[in-house]
Amino acid sequence: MAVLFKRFPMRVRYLTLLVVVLLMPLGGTIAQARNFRMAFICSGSITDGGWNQEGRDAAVKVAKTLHAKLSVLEHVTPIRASSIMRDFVRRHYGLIIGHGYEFLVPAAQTARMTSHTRFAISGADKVEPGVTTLNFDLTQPSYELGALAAMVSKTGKVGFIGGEAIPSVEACYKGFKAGARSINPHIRVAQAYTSWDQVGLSKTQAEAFIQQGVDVIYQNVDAASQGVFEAVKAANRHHGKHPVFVFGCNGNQNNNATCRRYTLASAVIRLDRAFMHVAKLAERGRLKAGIINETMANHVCVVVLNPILIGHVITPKMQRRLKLIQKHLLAAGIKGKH
Amino acid sequence: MSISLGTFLVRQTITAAAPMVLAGLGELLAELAGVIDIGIEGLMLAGALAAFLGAFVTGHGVAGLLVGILAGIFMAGIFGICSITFGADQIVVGTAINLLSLGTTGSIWMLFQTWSQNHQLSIHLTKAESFNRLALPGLAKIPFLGPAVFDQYALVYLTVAMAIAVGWILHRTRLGLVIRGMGDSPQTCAAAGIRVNLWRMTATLFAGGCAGAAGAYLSIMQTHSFAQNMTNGIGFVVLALVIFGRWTVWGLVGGCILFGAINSLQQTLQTARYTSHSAILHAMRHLPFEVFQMLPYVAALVALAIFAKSRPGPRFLGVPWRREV
Repeated sequence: MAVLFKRFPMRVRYLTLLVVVLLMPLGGTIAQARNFRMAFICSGSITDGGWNQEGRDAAVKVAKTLHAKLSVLEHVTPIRASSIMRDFVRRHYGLIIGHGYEFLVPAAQTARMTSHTRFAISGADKVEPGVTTLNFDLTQPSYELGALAAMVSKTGKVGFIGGEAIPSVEACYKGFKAGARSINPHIRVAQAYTSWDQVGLSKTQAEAFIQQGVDVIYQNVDAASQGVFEAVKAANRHHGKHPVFVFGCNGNQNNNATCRRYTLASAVIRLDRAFMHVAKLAERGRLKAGIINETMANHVCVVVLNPILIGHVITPKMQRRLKLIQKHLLAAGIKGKH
Repeated sequence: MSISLGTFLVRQTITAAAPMVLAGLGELLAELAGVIDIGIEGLMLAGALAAFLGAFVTGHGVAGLLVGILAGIFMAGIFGICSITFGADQIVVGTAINLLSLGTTGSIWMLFQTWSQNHQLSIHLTKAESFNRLALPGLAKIPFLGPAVFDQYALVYLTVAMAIAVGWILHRTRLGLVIRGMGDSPQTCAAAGIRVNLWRMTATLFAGGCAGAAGAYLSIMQTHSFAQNMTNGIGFVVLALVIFGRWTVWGLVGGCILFGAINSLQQTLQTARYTSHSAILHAMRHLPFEVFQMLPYVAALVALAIFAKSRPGPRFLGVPWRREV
């Protein structure tokens, strides 16, 4: 090989050497990325059609882009999480994404034992040593949805159904209520909690809302959202007076097969963007502990209007008002006047 | 068509109680025969998924219902072979069935979702593949009760007929005497030439079919969808309601209606405290929502405490039958 190399003129040899030297960092990155291992753990089912499924899909997308090896574990309880995380640490995983606030403490406990594995916990708003917290703040998108609900509602009654009263879900209700009141100070905003996976229970709760005159429902119940969609579909089949509308949450649920004609919009968390950011930092060893606030400002938590309802249900006037609200939200936060 | 609050509450009560009654009737028969199948939650879950897939694949809701019933029978068959044929502990086998069903249905559902994504299919049941409420002509228009009682899912009407039939069989026929005898005195039944384990297996399979149908009710009738662990404890509530009903059909039906009524009431109260103009309801806003959610369970516990001593359960409940026992 050396003999072969010596046959070339000196200029070619230097040029080849220069190219090799320049490509070395790139080669290193590719090699590093190929060896990069990620783990994604969640407490629910990765087929829930909401939070967990969106998280898994985002992790898969990130792993594909970075050519990383990905391990996915569902139904992980906080008690089991520590031992599972320790196992990933032993196997030299570069990043462990715990999808839910319940993994914050186990991650902090495990982070003390390692320096090469990084921990990212999504959906939490507290800081723990050694852990990067991704705080998805849906308050602002929920505020926008609340405003839209108040504009669309004919009865002056709107409602929120949550899967569980945890901080991230309660933030949705608070934002929704504030947004609705910003348009109509006398609007009534009902609130109820059911379950993440009991579809029937969510359906009967939505039916109770509708019976009480609620005509716009904002739901954050993941797999059980199908129950709410079914109730809205049935209400629109039987109700003669005015339609009942629904909002999606976490993922873009505007295109749900059950009642896409009555799904006004969705508050979407672009998990792939957030995960990609932390994964790239972790891969380079630059992910630092602390809190990353993912909001409307960095386009991770956004509102996606249902395109098929734009124009007739979501009128141009409403759209203009929503844009104004969004502008004020980004400038002044939730307390801004609209 | 908008309905009054009273009609709405009655309708929701019946809708919520029906799957519990259906699964409970099977469980009741099995328990009276001496078999306690705590795997009923798993059987319902298997029935729910099988019914959904059956309806989706065949394009017919009735076919989906039959597949759901068969899935329940299949899972109950596994339970029966382990606990009746081989005499394994019924509680342990029932727990294993629950775990097996949770894992299996979750895995199958995930594979199905991946498959449908790859084939760009929408996981959505069409009108022909599912059941909507079936309003009985004429009767559904009776003021107040009509929309509440006679505008229900088809399986609700069948459940009412089945409850009457099971009640009649248990107390008015020789078959009922044999079933009750197997739980109270299997030796006597065996002495009379009755094949105890064969009858117990039949009762277990019947319970499986009922649980499968109840699961199908949840997936292809009430919600037109499936979600992992969608039963979320209904099976365990049914187990409690069989005891609450003191192993009688009417006790079971009453318990299910009570549970369904309080559940409907708490859901309406949760809403009404925000939407109503009533000062009392308005004051309830300060109560945590968990207070409302626990109401059905508190009511069941109180009622259980009141009626607990009225009638003991089958003497040989959960005891495997061996000729030498």
